[in-house]
Amino acid sequence: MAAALPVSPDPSTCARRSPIYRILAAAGASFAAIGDAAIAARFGDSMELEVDGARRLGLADLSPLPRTGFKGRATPEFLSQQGITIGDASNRAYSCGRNSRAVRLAPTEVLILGSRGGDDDLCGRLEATWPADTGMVFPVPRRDGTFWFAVTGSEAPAMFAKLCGVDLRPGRFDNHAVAQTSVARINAIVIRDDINDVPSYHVLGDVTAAESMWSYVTDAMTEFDGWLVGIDALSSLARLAGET
Amino acid sequence: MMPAGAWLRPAYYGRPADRERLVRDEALAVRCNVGLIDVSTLGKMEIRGPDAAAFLERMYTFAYVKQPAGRSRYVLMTDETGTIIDDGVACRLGEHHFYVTATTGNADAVYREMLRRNAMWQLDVDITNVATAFAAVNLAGPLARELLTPLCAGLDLSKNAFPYLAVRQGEIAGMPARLLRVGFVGELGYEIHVPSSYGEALWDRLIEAGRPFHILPFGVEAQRLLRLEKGHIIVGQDTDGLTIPQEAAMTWAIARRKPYFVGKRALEIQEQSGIARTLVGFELAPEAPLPEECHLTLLNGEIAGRVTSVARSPALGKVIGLAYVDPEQAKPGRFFDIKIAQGRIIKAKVVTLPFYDPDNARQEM
Repeated sequence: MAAALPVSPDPSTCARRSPIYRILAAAGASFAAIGDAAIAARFGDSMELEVDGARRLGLADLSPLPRTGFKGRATPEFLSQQGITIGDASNRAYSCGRNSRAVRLAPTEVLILGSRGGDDDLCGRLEATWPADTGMVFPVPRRDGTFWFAVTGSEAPAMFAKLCGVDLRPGRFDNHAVAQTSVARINAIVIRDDINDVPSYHVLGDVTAAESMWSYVTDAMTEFDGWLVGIDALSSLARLAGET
Repeated sequence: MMPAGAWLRPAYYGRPADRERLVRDEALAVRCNVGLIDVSTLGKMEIRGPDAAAFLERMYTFAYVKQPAGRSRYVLMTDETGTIIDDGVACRLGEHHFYVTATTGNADAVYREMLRRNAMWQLDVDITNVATAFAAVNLAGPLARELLTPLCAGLDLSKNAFPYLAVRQGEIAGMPARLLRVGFVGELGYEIHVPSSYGEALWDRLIEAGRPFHILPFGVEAQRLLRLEKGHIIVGQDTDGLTIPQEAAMTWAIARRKPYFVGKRALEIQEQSGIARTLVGFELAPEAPLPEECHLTLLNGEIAGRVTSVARSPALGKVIGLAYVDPEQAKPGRFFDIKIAQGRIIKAKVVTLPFYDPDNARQEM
């Protein structure tokens, strides 16, 4: 017998709203509160089917989750002082905090992705401690300027082949590799961040292109029987895979 | 909806069959009560770093080094030939931090030009494009302060504490916000910028709080009418690919004592050679037909310029407009010819700008 679902908050009454919350609601999403926002937690009643979908080809909206960015010549030093170690290579994602990622986009520009479960406050802590008076580190409002989608599953590279010029197959695009490219002719940052053995990609782009990107990806997914998935399925996948 | 640069923006709210009445009602709501327009499509940039003020001094014609924190100032951008290419507002949020807006249609070009220029200048400044990271609305009308006050805990919106052209940061209904007291439509007004994921909630809260004040959302057509009544130009509509500040009566926005800004040398040369046209405000007799934008203005039967903006003003009860004429026709009280449809000639009278509230008492209340 399936466990009773918690009451789904109405995203249209939240202060923060995903740029595609209407599309998600129309697709049958149940939402979960996360801070002053609501995130699509699941679609339908069967978590098993949704997790299976995520293993094969899933698309999730993570836009309500915390993320931020910093740029300026003292950015690596600032992050190091906050306990975040990033490597020298740009276009790489580095682990930090509880399943958070520091994505080095350029020598002096870093994107910080909070955990997929929304269960750490790394971004808030960094935004509260950035050295405003030095003139050498500047925050970038990534949470508001960009959408954040996750594409998961074994069929994801094949699906991306229809939309993106970069070869994202696992053998060609390492885990934690980053491509600043275009997807469906929309400027995007693609980050491979597997959930253990399940290929997984973060896709971020300008927030005004969120609806377009969502519709292009869902259209491309139909050929592979793709699923819309919520963060509960991603969390379940991570738990099954042993991630904390 | 109507195209505006890369965007579609609301032209007015309601059925196309009722367009004229809707635009009039929206404009009157702003003049008599309060109105709300979405201006999220504006370009927005964070200019930060030790050389932020010096950078703006070079990019724009006005002066910014001595601009106090917590104040906004008009920005006018010219290219190397002195041609007007954009305008907006620079808000000084700190010693080394400006928040700058650009027009909807030129937002990307302005950002690109800033990056290009600073690649040459190498000033110690960071330029971040936050056009889509902030949503923005303009709440305008004589009841705007009364509506907004209960939503702004911790912010004193009184005239003395938050005067015209001031900028404040605080919260509106619990949402982080930047508030600019600007007056594009000529009424008491607040341009409110919030992180874009809060934009829709901000709109909902303001409309809800505005119901007792008979708030109306207004679109671009009403906004253009209202700013015309105040005589404010729109870059790209009242200017063209050759317009210099002297022709558009914008010399007040040039800081002549600055050593340099893009276009300064060209403007100095053009000032010596004189101008061939000038932008004036005009009005028509109440019974006159309505000219269209780009109808020609004439001097002795020859083309002198063109109408750039024209509308029937519900607040003033007459047709008003902006047009380029020969400088010798520009004196207030003089008449000039406009060639309208079917080659008809009508007489327009040059008047002093602004048409509406010449003492600016309403926007500075």
